[in-house]
Amino acid sequence: MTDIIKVDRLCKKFRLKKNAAGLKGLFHPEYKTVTAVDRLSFNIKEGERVAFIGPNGAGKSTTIKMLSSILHPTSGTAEVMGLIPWENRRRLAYHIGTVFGQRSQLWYNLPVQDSFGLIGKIYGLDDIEFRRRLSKLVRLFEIRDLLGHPTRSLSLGQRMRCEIVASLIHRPQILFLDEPTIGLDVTAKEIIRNLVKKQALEENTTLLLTSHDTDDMEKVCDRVIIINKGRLIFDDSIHALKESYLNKKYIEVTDDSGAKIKTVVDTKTTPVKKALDELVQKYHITDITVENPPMEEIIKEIYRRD
Amino acid sequence: MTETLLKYGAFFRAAFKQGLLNRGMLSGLLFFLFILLFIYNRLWEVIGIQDNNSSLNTIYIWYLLFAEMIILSLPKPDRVLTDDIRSGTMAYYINKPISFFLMRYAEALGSMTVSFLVMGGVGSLMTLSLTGVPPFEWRYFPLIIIMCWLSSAINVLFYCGIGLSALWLESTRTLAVAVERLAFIFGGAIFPLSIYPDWFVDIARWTPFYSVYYLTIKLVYDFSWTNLFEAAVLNSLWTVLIVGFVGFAYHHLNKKVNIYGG
Amino acid sequence: MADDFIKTLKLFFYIQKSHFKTAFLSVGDALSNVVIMLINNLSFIFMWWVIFHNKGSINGWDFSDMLLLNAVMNNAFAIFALFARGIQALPEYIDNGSLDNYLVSPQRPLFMIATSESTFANWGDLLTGLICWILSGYTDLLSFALMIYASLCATAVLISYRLLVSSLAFFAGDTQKLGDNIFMAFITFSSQPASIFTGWYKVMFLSIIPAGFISLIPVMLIKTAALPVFLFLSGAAVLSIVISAAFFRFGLKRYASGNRFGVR
Ligand SMILES: Nc1ncnc2c1ncn2[C@@H]1O[C@H](COP(=O)(O)OP(=O)(O)OP(=O)(O)O)[C@@H](O)[C@H]1O
Ligand SMILES: [Mg+2]
Repeated sequence: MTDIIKVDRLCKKFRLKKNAAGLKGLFHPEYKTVTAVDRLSFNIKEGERVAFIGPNGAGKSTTIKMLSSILHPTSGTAEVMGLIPWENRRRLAYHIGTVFGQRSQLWYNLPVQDSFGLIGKIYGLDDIEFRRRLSKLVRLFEIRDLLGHPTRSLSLGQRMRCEIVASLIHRPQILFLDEPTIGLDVTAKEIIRNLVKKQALEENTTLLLTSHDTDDMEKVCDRVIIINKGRLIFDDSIHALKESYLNKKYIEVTDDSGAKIKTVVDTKTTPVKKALDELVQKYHITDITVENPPMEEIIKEIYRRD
Repeated sequence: MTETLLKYGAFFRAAFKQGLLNRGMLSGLLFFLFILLFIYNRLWEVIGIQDNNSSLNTIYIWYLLFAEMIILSLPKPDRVLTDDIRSGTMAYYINKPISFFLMRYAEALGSMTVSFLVMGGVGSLMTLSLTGVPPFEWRYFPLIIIMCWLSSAINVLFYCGIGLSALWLESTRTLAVAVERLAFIFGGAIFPLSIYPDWFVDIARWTPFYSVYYLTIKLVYDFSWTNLFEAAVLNSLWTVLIVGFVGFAYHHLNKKVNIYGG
Repeated sequence: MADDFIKTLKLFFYIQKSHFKTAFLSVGDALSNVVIMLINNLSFIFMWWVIFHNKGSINGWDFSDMLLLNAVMNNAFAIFALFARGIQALPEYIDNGSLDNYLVSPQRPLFMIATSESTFANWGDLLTGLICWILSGYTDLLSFALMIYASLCATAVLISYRLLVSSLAFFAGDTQKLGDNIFMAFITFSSQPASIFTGWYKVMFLSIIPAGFISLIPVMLIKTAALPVFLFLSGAAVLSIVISAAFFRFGLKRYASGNRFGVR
C-alpha cells in the first residue's frame, strides 16, 4: 500500500504580539514566537485509521489545518494524495473531508437535506450520483428522521452525525476529524465511533482523528500518533502502545470487611506472584481483580515521561 | 414613594453603568452622529448660500442633533419585553416585590440616558464646531435638554408598550419598525416639519410624534414659554394615553400569568 | 473555463433557491419585511421631495436627479444584500473560524463567502429602484439601458468597498463594528444629493469614500449619456474590483499564515 499522507519535518510557528492594546503596542510591537508544530514527520498509508493524540495546545488542530490546506507551514513540507495541500487547495478539496467538532459546516436554518443538497452542488455531483450516495450515507448513519429538520433544532449528537455525512458526500479518500466527539454523552460518543469505523472499513477511507477521549482511539483506530509541544513522541500501533506498558498491573482486592484495596505493581521490579502473596498474607481476601492499566493512564504516563 | 424610586433607581443605575462601559457601541453612535451632522450641515450650507440665508445650517443642524439624540439613543426595549413574554421570564417576577415592567423601563431609561448624554455632550461640540454658534440662548439650554430627555423617556415608554403588545401580536418587531417609520416621517426626524406642506402637517398633528419629537425639538431654535408650554401639555396628554394602554396591557398580562403560571 | 462558469452559475442559483426557501419558512414575515423596506425607502424619498419642492433645486440638482440616484443606489444595495451579503459577515467568519469551512471547499472562497447570506427584505430595495426609475421620467430605452449599466457599475463599486472594509479583519482583531460603521457612512454619503459635495469634499467623495460612484457619476451618465462619463464609471468599477480582490487575496494569504491576530 502507498503512503497517502506524507509529512516531512513540518513546522508551524505563530507570531504573537506581546504588548497588548494601547499606543505602545501599536508603534513598538514586541513579538513572541510560539512553535505550535515542531519538525513533525510521519507517513500514513491508505486505509489506515490513525488517532492523533496530545494534550491541549500540542498542535493537533494546527497540523490538521495544514494538511487540509487551511494553513501554510513555516517550514517543512507535506503531501496529501500526492498534492501539497496549501498549494492545491481546490484540487485537494475533492479528495478530503473535514469535520471540526467545534464548528458546523451545515446551514443553520436550512433543513439538513437542503444543506446536503448544497454540498452536493458545491462538489459538482450530478443528481443521480448524489442521490445514490446520500441514500447510502443516510442508511449507514441512520439519519433518515433528521433530514427534514433544520440544523439548529438538532441535538449535538444528531448534528455530529449529519456533519460527518456532510463531509462524506463527495466520497473523500481521507477524512480529517478534529474532536468529533467533543461535548457528546457516552451513548452518542459510542454511536459516532461505531459509525465512523464502519464507514471507514466499508469504503477504505483513511482517517486522521483527534480526541481527548482515549476510547475514541481504542475503538476506532488501529494506529496512534502522539505529539506533545508540537513534537512527535510516539508513533505505532495501538497494540504496541498497550504492549509497551503492560509491565504495570492494577490489582484491586476486597477483604472480608468489604474494604477495597488498590495497588499498582511494576512487574519489572516485583513479580506479580510476590505481590499477590503479600496481599494474601495481609488481608482476608474475598475478591480480587488484576487489570492492565487503562489507556488513560498509559497516555498520561507518556506525557509525563516526555 | 422614595423607596420605590430607590428600587427602580438601582436598575437605572446598573443599566447606565453598563452603557458607559460599552465603548464600542458609544463610539459607533458618535461616528454615525458625526457623519449625519457633517452631511446635513453641508446640505444646509449649500441651500443657505442659494437662499442667501447663512443661519439655515445653524438652525437645522442643531435641530438634527437633538432629534438624533432622541432617536439614536433608543435601546430596544420592545425586543427585551417581547423576549421576556415569549420565553416566560416574566413569570419569575410575579412573586417578587417589583413590577417587572417598571424594572425593564428603568433599565431602558438607564441605557437611553447614557447615549443621550454622550451624544449631547460630544454632539454639541461637533455641532458647535460646524455651525459656530447655537441658535438658542445658553440660559435656556438646560431646559431644552430636560424637555428633550423627557421626550426621549416617552419614546422609550412607547417602545416598551410595543413590547407588551406581544400579548396579542405575532411579530412586534414589525410593529416597532412601522412605528419607527411613522415617527421618522411625522416627527420630522431629519428636517423640521416647518418645511413640510401644510396638508402633511395637518395629518402629523394627530400623531404623538408631532409634539414628542417636532414641537419639543423645535425649542432648540424657537424657544418661547408658549412653545414650551404647548409641547409640555401635548406630551403629557400623550403620556397619559400611553400609560393607560400600558396599564391595561400589564394588568391583562398579570392576569394571564396568574391563571396559566406563565 | 466556460464549463466552469456554467457550473458556478448553476451553483449560484441553487444557493439562491435555498435562501428563498429559508425566507419563505415564514411567508408573512418575508413579505411584510419587503413591504416595510419599501415604505422605509419611500419615506426617505418623500422627505427629499419635500426639500426639493421647497427649494427648487440644490446646486443644480432637482428632484428627478434624486429619483435617479435612488434608482441606482437601491438597485446596487439590493444586489449586494441579496447576492453578496456574506461579505458583510467576513470579519465574523474570520473571528469564529467558519472561514475554514469555505477554505476546504472546492469553490472559490470569495464566492462561497459572498453567497453565504442573503436578506430577503432587500427585494423591497429593488422595488424601490424600479419605482424611482419610473417616477424619474428617464424611461426611454437608452436611459433604461444606461440605468441598468450604471446600476451594475455602482454595484461593483459598492460590493468592492464592502469587501475592502471587511478584509480589514484579516489584519486586525475584531473589526466587525468598525467595518459596519465605515460602510454605513459610505451608504449615508451615497444617499444624499451629490451636488452638495464640492471642492475637496468631492475629491474625498470620489476616493476614500467612493460614494460618488453610486450617486454622482451614475446620475450624470444616465442624464448625459456622455462617453467620458461612461468610461470614467466603467474604469472606476473595474479598478475597485481589482483593488479589493487583491486586498482580499493578500488578507487571505495572511490568514493562511496564521499570523492574523495581534493578540490572542
Ligand atoms: N492562529 C494562531 N495564532 C497564534 N497561536 C496559535 C494559533 N493557532 C494555534 N496557536 C497556538 O498553537 C499551539 C497549538 O494549538 P492547536 O490548536 O494546534 O492545539 P491542539 O493540539 O489542537 O489543542 P486542543 O487539544 O486544545 O485542541 C497553541 O499553543 C496555540 O495557542
Ligand atoms: Mg484542537
